[in-house]
Amino acid sequence: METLLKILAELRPDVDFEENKELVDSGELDSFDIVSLVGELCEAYEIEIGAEDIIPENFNSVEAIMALVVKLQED
Amino acid sequence: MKGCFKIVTRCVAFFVVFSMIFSNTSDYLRRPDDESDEIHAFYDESKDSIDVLFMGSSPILRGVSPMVMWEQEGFTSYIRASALQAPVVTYGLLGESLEYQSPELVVLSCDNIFQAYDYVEREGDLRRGLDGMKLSKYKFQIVSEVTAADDRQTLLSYMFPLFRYHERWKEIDWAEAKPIPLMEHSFKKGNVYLRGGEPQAYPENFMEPSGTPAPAFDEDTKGYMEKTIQLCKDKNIPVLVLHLPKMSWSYEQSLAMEEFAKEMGVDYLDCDQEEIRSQLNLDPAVDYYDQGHMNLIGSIKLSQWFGNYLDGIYDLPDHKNEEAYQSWNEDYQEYAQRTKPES
Amino acid sequence: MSFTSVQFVVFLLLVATSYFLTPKRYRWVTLLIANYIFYFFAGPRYFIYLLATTITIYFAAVKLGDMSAKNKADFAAAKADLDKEQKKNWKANFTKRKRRVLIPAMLFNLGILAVLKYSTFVGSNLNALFERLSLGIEMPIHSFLLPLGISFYTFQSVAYLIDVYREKYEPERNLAKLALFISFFPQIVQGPIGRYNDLAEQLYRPNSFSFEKAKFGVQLMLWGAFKKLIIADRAKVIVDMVFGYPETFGGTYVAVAAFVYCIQLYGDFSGGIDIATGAAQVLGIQLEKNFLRPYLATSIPDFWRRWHISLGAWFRDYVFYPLSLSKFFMKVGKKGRQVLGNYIGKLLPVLIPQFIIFFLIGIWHGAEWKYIAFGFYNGTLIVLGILFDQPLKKLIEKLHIRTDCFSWHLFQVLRTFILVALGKIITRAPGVSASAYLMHSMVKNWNTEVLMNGGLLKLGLDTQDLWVLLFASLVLLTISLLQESGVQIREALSKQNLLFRWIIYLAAIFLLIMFGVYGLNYNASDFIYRGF
Repeated sequence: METLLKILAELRPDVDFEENKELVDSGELDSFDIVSLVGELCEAYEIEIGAEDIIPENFNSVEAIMALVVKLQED
Repeated sequence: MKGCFKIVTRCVAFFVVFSMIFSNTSDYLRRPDDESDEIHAFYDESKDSIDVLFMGSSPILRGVSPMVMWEQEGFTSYIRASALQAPVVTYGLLGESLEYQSPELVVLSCDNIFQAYDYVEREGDLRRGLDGMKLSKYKFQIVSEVTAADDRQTLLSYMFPLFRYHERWKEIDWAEAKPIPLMEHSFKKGNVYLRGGEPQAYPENFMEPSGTPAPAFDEDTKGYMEKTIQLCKDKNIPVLVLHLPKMSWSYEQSLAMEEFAKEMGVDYLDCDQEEIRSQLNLDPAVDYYDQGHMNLIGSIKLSQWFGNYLDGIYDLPDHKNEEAYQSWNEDYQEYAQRTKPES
Repeated sequence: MSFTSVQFVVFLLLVATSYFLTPKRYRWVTLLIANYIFYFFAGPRYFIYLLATTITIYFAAVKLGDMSAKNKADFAAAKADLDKEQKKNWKANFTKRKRRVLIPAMLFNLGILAVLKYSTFVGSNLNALFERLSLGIEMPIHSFLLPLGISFYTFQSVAYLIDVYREKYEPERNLAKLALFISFFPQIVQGPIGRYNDLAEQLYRPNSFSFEKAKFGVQLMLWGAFKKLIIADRAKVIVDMVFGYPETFGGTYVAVAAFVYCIQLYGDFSGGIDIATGAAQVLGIQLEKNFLRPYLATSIPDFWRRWHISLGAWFRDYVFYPLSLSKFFMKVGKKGRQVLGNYIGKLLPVLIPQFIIFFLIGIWHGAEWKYIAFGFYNGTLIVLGILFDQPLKKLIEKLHIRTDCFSWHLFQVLRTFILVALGKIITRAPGVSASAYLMHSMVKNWNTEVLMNGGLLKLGLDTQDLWVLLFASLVLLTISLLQESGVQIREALSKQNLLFRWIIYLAAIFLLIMFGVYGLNYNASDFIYRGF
């Protein structure tokens, strides 16, 4: 979790990730951010994130992102 | 259920208000036209009160005065003619008229039988007869003919002319604008007279055989003439095909028309034929507005002779002293007043 | 059947009436029949394309669904005996098998679109090339008439297929229902492109008549007609004039025309979408938003998030993500970081796909070089925006420019609008060289005097029409600003008194009737006596 928060903070220092639960739906994260984030996540957690995983529900909050990471690690 | 009732009531009320404004706006933006007014003031005549119906183009509405004939012979007549009336409009207007009136005689001008009608070019002329026309199967028939010939035209704009004239907001001076609804009652009974005009003279060899054959009939126009005449035959109403004085008429055209009338089994009267011309005794220098139309003086002169002619041949009734027809006398007073020579 | 025709209004009325009179179970069938009747009006010969898409997508999706179900069961049974590597192989293997279904179906449907839309363009350019090279070859060129809404229904159904492939949802197993999803009449003409998980359920369920929804729908349709008939079709006169005679109108006229073209395009497109959305709403169906006041955007990316939203989202989800997350671009990103440094390297997997997207969006607009140039223009702006994002921020800081105030926001909006307007010159000019000529002439012959000395009257509209255009555009701007600040226009209106509401409705209808540009031009001289 801490790794994730660090990645996010580096990516968008201006966003309060712990509070915002609508990161995608509110437009806070745009497609560029998502792609950069996915790149970082893949590297940090050694997982593969495909286009099919890029749905707002998976990126709307830190918890959701973490859940996605965990799910992909288990597969 | 109660909510449903409320919604329906509101919708109906809204529609009523909408229709009122729509009709009022239509009257503001309408293109006022005296021929339209005359054609459609026809609806104001009491049912089955007209003895003679006149249908056709401008020579009739300029040259024939129902009021002169009324005053002189006591029969009632109405003209539903307009400039360059399309054959299909003549047909449709007559069909409609016969649902309101049961005339003793229908007089038809058929001079346009030699020409094809250009629906694309003649929208303004078409609308003279159509804009104020009530909805009927005849109106649909006419409009479908028009829209088939010109796909830029729409049924809707003939049903609701506002859709055609909506851009006239630009032409109108809104400070002085007022709604101009169709005229309701006509004292001229469809006649639209003009004063003055250009003095005319008969061309050389007028109405003498020239050796050049008359132009062929236009098949479409002829078809509608036949249908128009058939409408009358179906109701056992006699028809008179009428040609009014016109400088560009020829002996051959006259013969062709006479032949056509004979084929159709109806009467023909040609005001340019030698015999009739001498009876009419028109003065081209005074009585003509232009080469094809009478002016006011000519129309009075012509109508006096013509009323007498019709009464003699068709034995038309005399209503002058009937209670129900007194409005005709009032209309004549107005006509006489308006047509007094200008000093 | 044009959205702004009386036929459409009558059609919608008939559809709505029969829809709500149909027993609930069969309402979706009524809707399907309505769609097919609507499509039939557009040209019966195009039916074959729609049917081909419906059938191929249906069978491919069902096949994919079956495969996934079977795979899930098999995997669950075998899972315990597999190690991580084997699991990975299983998955890769299955993906490969699924692609064997997905790719042919996609190629078939996008292929139809490509052939119909681009064969003339490709053919004529190849022929020009062959001639240059004097190869003596000439390809036969057949130009097709595009079936109604083909790019919209193709995109919509391909998205559905990809989602099934991605196991986002189960495939629709009723062919008629899928046919309904692909052919919904309000949106088949020009979008918005609907997503299956959002739209299909609304289409299949029996919607009950709601007076509120119907009222809002009709209001939205009126608003759309206002934008289209009063604004766009009037603006079109000016635009057609200037771009039709570029030699005559240079300088400031080009700027005026570009500005007016922005208004025309927005009025026309968003007006059409509003009518579609309103029509759907009458039937109780909510379509996706397609415009969000694009000219109030503060940057080019922001503009593209507000303009034709459903198309942008489609390209994002089905082209951009798959591309930029592909192994290839991930590798490019890694390599890039080593070679070009962290900042730019990281951006490569975003920038290159972004360029590709704009190339695609460009040719999606039409098979012409100018649309490719248009895509290139937008791609370049976005890439420049990203590359200069950090340096500009530093510069702003250094210069002590305040960015949290109205004037800065206004500056951003105006800057974006001007960039967008320049892009519109590219698409509206007859060709790439013509747009270059126009832009050059705009700068060289700049002369603001024509705005004052009656020069505007040379553009085909008389004074009265110019006033109507100006006034109507101001109404549009005001409404947009209100919406931007969060006012819900229709909701606010419904809270007003009956009298006020009716005045608004009636005014809207009669403004439309009187000031709408429709039917034949009224030319008084056509009506004067021409021969008695």
